[in-house]
Amino acid sequence: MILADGHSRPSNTVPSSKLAARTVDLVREYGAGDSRVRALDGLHIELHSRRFTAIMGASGSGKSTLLHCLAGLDRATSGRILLGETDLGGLDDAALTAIRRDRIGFVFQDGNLLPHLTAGENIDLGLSLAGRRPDRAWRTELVGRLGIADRLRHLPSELSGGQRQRVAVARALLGHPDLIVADEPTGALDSASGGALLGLLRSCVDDYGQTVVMVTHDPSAAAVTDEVVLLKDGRSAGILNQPTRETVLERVAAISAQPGAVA
Amino acid sequence: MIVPQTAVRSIRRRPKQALMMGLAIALATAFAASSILIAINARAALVAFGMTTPEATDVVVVPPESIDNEAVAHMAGQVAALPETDEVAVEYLGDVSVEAGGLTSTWKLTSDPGSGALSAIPDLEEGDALQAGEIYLGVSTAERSGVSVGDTVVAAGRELVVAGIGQIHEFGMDVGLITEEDAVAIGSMTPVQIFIAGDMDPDAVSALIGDSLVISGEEQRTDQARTVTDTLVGVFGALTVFVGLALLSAVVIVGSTFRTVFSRRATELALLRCVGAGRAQLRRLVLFEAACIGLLSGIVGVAVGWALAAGLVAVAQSSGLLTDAFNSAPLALVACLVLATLSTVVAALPAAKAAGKASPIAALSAARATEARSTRRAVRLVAASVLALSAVATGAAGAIAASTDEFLALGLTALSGVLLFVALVCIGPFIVQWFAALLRPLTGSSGAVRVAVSNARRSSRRTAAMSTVLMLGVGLTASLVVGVAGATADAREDMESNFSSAAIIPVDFVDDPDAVVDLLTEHPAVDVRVDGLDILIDPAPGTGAVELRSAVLESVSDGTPVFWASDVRAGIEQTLLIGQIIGIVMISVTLIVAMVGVMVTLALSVAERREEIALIRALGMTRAGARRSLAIEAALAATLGSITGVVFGSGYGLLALNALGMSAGAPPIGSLTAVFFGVIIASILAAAIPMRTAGRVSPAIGMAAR
Repeated sequence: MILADGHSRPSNTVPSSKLAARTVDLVREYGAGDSRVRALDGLHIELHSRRFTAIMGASGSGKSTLLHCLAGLDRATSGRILLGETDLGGLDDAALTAIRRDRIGFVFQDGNLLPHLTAGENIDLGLSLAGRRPDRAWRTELVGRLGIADRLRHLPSELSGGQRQRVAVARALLGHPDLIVADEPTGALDSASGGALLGLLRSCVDDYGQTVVMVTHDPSAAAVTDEVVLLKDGRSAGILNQPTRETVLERVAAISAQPGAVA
Repeated sequence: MIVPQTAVRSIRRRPKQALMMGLAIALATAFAASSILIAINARAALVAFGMTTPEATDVVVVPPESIDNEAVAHMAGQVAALPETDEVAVEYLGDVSVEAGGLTSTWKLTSDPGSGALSAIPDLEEGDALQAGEIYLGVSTAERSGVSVGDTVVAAGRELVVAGIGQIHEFGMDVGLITEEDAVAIGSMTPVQIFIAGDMDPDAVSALIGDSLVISGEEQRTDQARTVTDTLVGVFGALTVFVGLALLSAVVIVGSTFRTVFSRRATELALLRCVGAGRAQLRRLVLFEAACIGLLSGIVGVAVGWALAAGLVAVAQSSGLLTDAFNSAPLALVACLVLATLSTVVAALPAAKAAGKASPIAALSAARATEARSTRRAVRLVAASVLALSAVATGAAGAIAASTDEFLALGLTALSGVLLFVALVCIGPFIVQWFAALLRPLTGSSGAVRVAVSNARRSSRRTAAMSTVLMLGVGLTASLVVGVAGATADAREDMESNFSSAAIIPVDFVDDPDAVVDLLTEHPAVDVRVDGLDILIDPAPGTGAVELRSAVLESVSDGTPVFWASDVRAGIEQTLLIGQIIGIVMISVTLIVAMVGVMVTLALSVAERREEIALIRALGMTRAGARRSLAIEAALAATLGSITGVVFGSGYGLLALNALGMSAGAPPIGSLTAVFFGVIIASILAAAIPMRTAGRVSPAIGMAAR
């Protein structure tokens, strides 16, 4: 297992044939008339199970919109979003809520914990909302591995940024979700805490067989993943397998140099 | 379990915010609890005041007014001679000048048989019953005049020895019981009724004594009980109206507070949605938090109200106004708690609805939802139009009903006022936007004014909530001011038409009117004439009011009833003044709730706009400028509330006068102007704490990335 330091990718990682999520000809438009913006423009991507995928692209390339769609937070204007075999497009609000609760784990930029609940209560939040009790052994193992066992009775305001993010990771992992989505999870952290968090996400995939998809701007963060999906103007601009910091930088620079696509 | 747990934790983590959110409800609950407790505790006194017929009375004879003491005594003797009669007591009443402990004051004296079933004196453990030449005093009366058993007091020149002191109803006055014999001897006391105990038949008594009114004791007690009940219903009805108005204001304020607080907590709600909370769970969360805040505010309010009522009742007990022990009325207090909780939950409904609509994406983006959002114009305009039309129709129906049924007319006018108020609540945000747009050309180059006007416009619902409750308070005050001015003018007009002289003596009230006129004519200071049923008395040219009074008293014999115009006028004006004071005390609660609303709303406005204030400060606005912009925002809401309140209240004051068949009189411009400016100044004072907070916002946080 690789944790806080030296977050290199194990060489034996092979793509699972099973797809955790995919989008088919996904279009997402906002606004109407002259102010209409096409954030995603017929996007096809496939996220394999037990893989760590980064989504990268310039501001406005549609990476956050894609993440929202995959997490059941936003709906497609046209095309399909599939989580496993479930087509999210056909689901009503209650069903989408249940999907988020039972099948998606979230890690946000700044932890995003409820300020008045303790770390332990924040970890249990999703299961509590579903009226279920957490698996005690799994919870104990998780908080032990994440190094927050002695912080469970503390309020978020009493934790460091890195500790808050680890609580968020514990919350995401507790329910064994099909997909963990992370939105710039290291954005608000110093480099040491950021590195530790990336190691944690890496081990979610390697040790616990989770599927993680992460939006990031940071080539060093992308280098920890198994593959990078590059976006430009709401379309796929290529996939980079086994990325390193250098290859990522290179590809991003190359994409930026291309003339903009016409929507 | 997670919903109640999250709600309770949220309150525990932010007690100051919970306090602010529930302050208006706590205030209204304190008012409700104290007024209900006071009314319940005053009930016993009211019952005792109204139920003057002794329990043992079988038949009551009410002699005609013109009859003299001798005839009444004869009548009592005739009844006493009947075989069925057990006891007879004539009740004489009078306000008598009494000298006690070196001081002379007017006491309420009542005749009493001294013992037995028809006596008001508590059963004696030892000693003798009240005898002629003796007086029995109330406990407070004895304390105030510093006399004890065995002392002598002088009532209208007659010496009376204090035979006993005990619990008799005093109603805050100096009260003494004397024998019938002494009452007759004092002269100025009037025989009001004859109580008869025994196995009596009212018809037999009636046949015996002719033209007096004869009713059974039970009938009279039922009548008195009904009067007491009617009074109590009236008191509780009026209280309900005022408590209702205070609660309505609190609901408007708390509703606005909840909307603001939960729109600031949009990220938190969105996070809950992200991790799997359903819409219904979020709505329940808001409502549960509201219920907790309502319950806590209710407990605070009930405690304050109870303490206030207990204090006032203790004062009333020590002055003899009330004799019973303090009744805490636990059921009424529980009802107040339930009311506080329900009101808060109702106030939180719009916030709960909005929370249910929270978008989960907001948790992932930096976008911060604020109160500044569009209002549903069409729905509000339609609702306001329907309400306004209903208000006009109800008002017109009230005006028509005025000629036949005053109370129906007054009720319809009040209902019309409520409808118009709700209509104004509906279109409040648009009025605020329009008012702000109207003021925009006047903002000139002052940054503070421009910031204030644009904030009022942007958060029009919040500004409208402040203005609306202020409007309600000002409107009630204005209608009271206009109503009292009209009633005073009407009473003066009545006086002038019915009371064309300085004093009158009704011809029917004296045995020999001609002799009285002759006596008065002889005095050089008195100008006297007879007009129909009244002897009219005026000062002769060059005579002052004081000289006339002494001249009249010198000329007529003791006990001649003289009605002085100035006394009657003073009496009417005092009654109106008391009514006005009670009205203002009641209305002031609504006004205080409105002021709390201004304070809480502006405090939230500052909390929500911290970064914005910091940015403006960083760009060069002074600390004083930041404070000033808050004061201007308060003044803006208060001006709008006061203008609409004065117009709305004056209009309904006039309608109410019309409903009661009174003329309007001169408009009380001075009082209305005072109310207008007073409310604006009070609102700026209420903004003092938020102003201080706004001034303390550091410009540095405006530069920090969010």
